[in-house]
Amino acid sequence: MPGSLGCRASRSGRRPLPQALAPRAGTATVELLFNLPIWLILILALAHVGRVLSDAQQMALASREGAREASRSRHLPVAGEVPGNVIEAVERQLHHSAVGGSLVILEHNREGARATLASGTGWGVPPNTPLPKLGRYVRVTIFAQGKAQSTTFRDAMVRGDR
Amino acid sequence: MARAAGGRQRVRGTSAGAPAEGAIAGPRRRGAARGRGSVTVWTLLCVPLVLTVLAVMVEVNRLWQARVQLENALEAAALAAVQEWSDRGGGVEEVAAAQAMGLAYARANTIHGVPVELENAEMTSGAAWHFGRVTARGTGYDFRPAPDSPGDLAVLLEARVRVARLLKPLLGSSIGETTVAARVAASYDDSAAPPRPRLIRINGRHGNGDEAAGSRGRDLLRQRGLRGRGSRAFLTGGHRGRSLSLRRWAPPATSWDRVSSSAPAGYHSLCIGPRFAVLGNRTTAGAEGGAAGYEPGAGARVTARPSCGRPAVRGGEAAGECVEG
Repeated sequence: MPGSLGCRASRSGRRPLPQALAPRAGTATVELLFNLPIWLILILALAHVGRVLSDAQQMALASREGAREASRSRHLPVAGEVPGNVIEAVERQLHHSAVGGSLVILEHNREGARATLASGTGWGVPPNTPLPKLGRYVRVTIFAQGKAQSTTFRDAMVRGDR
Repeated sequence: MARAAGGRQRVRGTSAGAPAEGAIAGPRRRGAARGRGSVTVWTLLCVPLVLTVLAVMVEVNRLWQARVQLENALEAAALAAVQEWSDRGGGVEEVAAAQAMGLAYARANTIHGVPVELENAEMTSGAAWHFGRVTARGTGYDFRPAPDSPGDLAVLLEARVRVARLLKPLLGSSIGETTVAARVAASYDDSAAPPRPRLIRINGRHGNGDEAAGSRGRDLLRQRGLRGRGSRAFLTGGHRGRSLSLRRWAPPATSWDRVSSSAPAGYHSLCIGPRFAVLGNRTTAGAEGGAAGYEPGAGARVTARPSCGRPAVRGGEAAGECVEG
């Protein structure tokens, strides 16, 4: 007795669908369509935030690699562009990230006076973190996506530089 | 049966004043009403969950980034210190200058924009400097905290710093902060052309020190019943790269830092208390109110020291003895 069980008879002979469920399926679909943008926004936000945070970490590592390379460079110019080996070390680290169009600033005092070199695109101001007063230093700062990351190392190629 | 069912339908329909189909459509409408809005409800329930996941993700990544920045700072400090130590000859007396250089380069680096001040107890909950020598073994290096042993000069640096959480303004400094730790080692490679400092990996979790020396220090502590006596100090780690280190329960937790940083190279900085210290292989320590040390090989003497950072006085008592200062 299909009628008494609340099921609609199917003309094609397939298993009858409970009548109470039939209209709900459509409602849920419509609601899902309305809520889909919210879910999309949340998922995209998760992905975007994850990417931004990962890139910030990569920038910290890249500035370290750049500073390490600069501290071991035999030759550091006092003006002009950042040496190619330093740029290469930075780009090697940033290769797997989405960071692009970065600006690299190299500061050092190997020759005694403070020298500032820059390469890349965009613009930025070196951080105001005090530079060490002891020894010869190199500091590499990377600007990208509106953020800056810097690392300072002692110049490893200068001995007795107190 | 069919008549009975139809009769029930008629009776129900008649009583409601509606046709029989209407009697069935009632629950359908209620079911539809129940189903309507369920996705929205689930969405509203899930959005806070997703936002929480987002916040946790940001927090964890922020801590991870802090750890990377701490490692950068410690690497800069260790490299600068070992270079300075080598420039000055690698003697025990030059450790303080080398450490000062290392501190300056740690400070030149930042964690989330805040300079890394290893000597500042508010920021650093623990920092240990070990000056010694390394010899290559396998893929890593064995660290010996004795400047007069063979091998290249090396500095092993461990630190734990406090990092503010995103919710610190709401939670306060008690649970609004957490700590990140890092450990780096650098040696001075004299055989390279030109000679230069480099980062190395130390074998073992805490190096591979002289277990006997560490055990002797622990035994002395136990024999004298000095553990925790007179202070809230206690021995932790037992044996960390040939040295025993001490931390304090009570704030300010600066004693361990002070002792570790002031102990000359090759000396184990061990247990401290208000009036004593127990020392390992060749050790000295400083503490609030006094310190003591002994040197087993040369015959030891334990003496009180009102100030930190000086080697123990030698001679006098037999090796392996330790008395209160």
